[in-house]
This record gives sequence, C-alpha cells and structure tokens, in this order.
Amino acid sequence: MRETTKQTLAILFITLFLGISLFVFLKFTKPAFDNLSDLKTEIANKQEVKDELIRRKQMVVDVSNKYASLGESLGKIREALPSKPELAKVLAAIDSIARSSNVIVNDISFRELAQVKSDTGAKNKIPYNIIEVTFSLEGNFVNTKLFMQEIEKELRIMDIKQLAMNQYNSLITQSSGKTKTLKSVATLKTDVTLYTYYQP
Amino acid sequence: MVASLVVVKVLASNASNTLVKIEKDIEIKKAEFTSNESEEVVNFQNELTNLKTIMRDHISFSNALNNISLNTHQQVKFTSLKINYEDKLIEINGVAPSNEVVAQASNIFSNLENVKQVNFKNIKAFSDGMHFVMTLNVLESFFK
Repeated sequence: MRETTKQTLAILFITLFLGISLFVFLKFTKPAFDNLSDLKTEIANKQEVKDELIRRKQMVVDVSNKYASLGESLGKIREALPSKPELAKVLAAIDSIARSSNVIVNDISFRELAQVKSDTGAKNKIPYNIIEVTFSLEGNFVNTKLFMQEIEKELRIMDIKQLAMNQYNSLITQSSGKTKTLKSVATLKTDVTLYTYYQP
Repeated sequence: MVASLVVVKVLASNASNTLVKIEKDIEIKKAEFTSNESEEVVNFQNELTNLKTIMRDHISFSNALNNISLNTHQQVKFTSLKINYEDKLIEINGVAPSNEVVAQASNIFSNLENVKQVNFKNIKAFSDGMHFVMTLNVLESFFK
C-alpha cells in the first residue's frame, strides 16, 4: 500500500471516527446529559417540597401540642371569642353585672353586623363576626360607671361603642301614714351600644 | 465517548430512582396531614390572630367617663352626655352659672393632651343659668 493511500485512509478513518463521535454525542450523550440535568433540577424541587412538608408537619405537631397544653387558657380563649354568638351568655353577663352594679337594664336588643377580617398579614384569614348589643341603663353616675368597668373586665370581650346619658325627672309615690305624695326624683338614663364578637 | 454515555446513563438512572423515592416520601408526608388536623391548626391560628386584633382595639369606656368627670368644672352641671367612639366625639349638654364658668370649663378640657378640639354651641341664658352644648373631639387615647 502506498504512503498516500495510507494517509488518505487514516484521514478517512479519523474523519469517520470524529463523525461517529459527533453523532453519538448529539444523538445520545447530550440528550442523556440534558435529561440528567433536568432530573437533578426536578430532584432539587421535589426535595424542597418534601422539606416544606416536613416543616409544616412539624409546625402542625407543635401547634397541636401547644393547643393541647393550653388547657384552662384555651377555655378562656374560647370564652373570649366563642365559635357561636352565645347571646344567652351575653345577656346573662349583662344582667349579672347590672345587678351587682345596682343599675336596671332595659330594652336589650341584638343585631349581627358584617364580618370583619383581621388586618394582619396572616394567610388563610377567617373573619370574625360582630354582634351589636343595645340597651338602656337606669342608675346613678357612679353605678353606671361601675357597670362599664365590670363590662370591660368581662371575659367575653365587649366593647362599648356609643353612650348617651340623659337626666330626667320621674315621679315616685311616697307614703307617710295614710297620706301618699308624689315626689320628683332625678334619674339618669344611659343608652348603650356595645360590640361583642365570635368567630364561626 | 461511549464510556461517558454509559456514565451519564447510570447517573440518570440513579437520579430517576432518587426522584421516585422522593415522590413516594412526599405522598407519605401528604397522607400524614389529616384535613381535620390542618383545619384545626388554621382555625386556632386565626382565632388567636383575631383575638389579638380585638384585644388591640379593646376600649375602656369607663376611662372616658373618668376623664370627663375628673375634668368637669365644679360649678357646671351636665344634663346629658353622648359619647361616640367611632367618631371620637363627645357631646355634653350642661348648665353653668355664668359665661365665665362656661369658658373655664372649656379651658379645662382644652388643656387635656388627648382632647383635640373643644367647641360650643347653643349657649343660652335661662333662669337657672347658662345652658350650653359642648363638643369635644378627642383622640383614641381618651378611651384607653
């Protein structure tokens, strides 16, 4: 075989080898490498999802434990912000406070207002509901103020929003012996509007 | 070239197995979340958030009454009082022996830090003294 033929064949083989190599690279190696890269990216993403799930599960466990350990405090939280309107309890509380403050409660009415969402940045916000309670009180200024102080201390949260005090003269019958006389007595009447809350 | 292809294929196969394993783990972790448990936690978190908001805005109306009674001029008698928390407005109807006392009563409230403005209207002389309507524009702190 002549030297030039050898050279030509060598060049041909080298070219052929390079061509095959390029073909194998483009057809098999590069797609396999790309596939590997995609898989690695997907693994990283899924791992993040898994880590997030583990973190959330831990948070659920922590909150559940906290929730379970609250005991008496949980009861207080539920009393402050119950899951139902529990109007009977509100009525009972107002009546009880009125008795202990020595004022008379009249004309109680309840009205549910629109739902309110907390303005914090918390996710999955569930709104709470407001119940407007209106009533009037009869009693002197000191006792009326005492009533309000007690309302503010009540575990079921109640916020007085409006108040209107008016003094008027009422007539009472006084009897001395056989004679009965009418006496004018100054009475303080206070119309109160308060809000109480629940989270359904 | 072939060797590198084999290596890449082996690595891809391993990665694929790892991915399947992670996906299985995710399914298991998801199954661990019972809807009740998650709902209970979300509800509780919301309850606490709402309670925090309500407590932050909790009003002590008796403090407003205290502020008014402590700063009432001795010679002034109030006949009616209206307090509106939303508008931060207080309207007082009263009787004073003279205009000078009305002015003094106004000064007392004007000097309070949590009173923005004191206004008067309908000042009229009657047999029992000067009848007046005083309105106070107050700050939030007047109720706290």
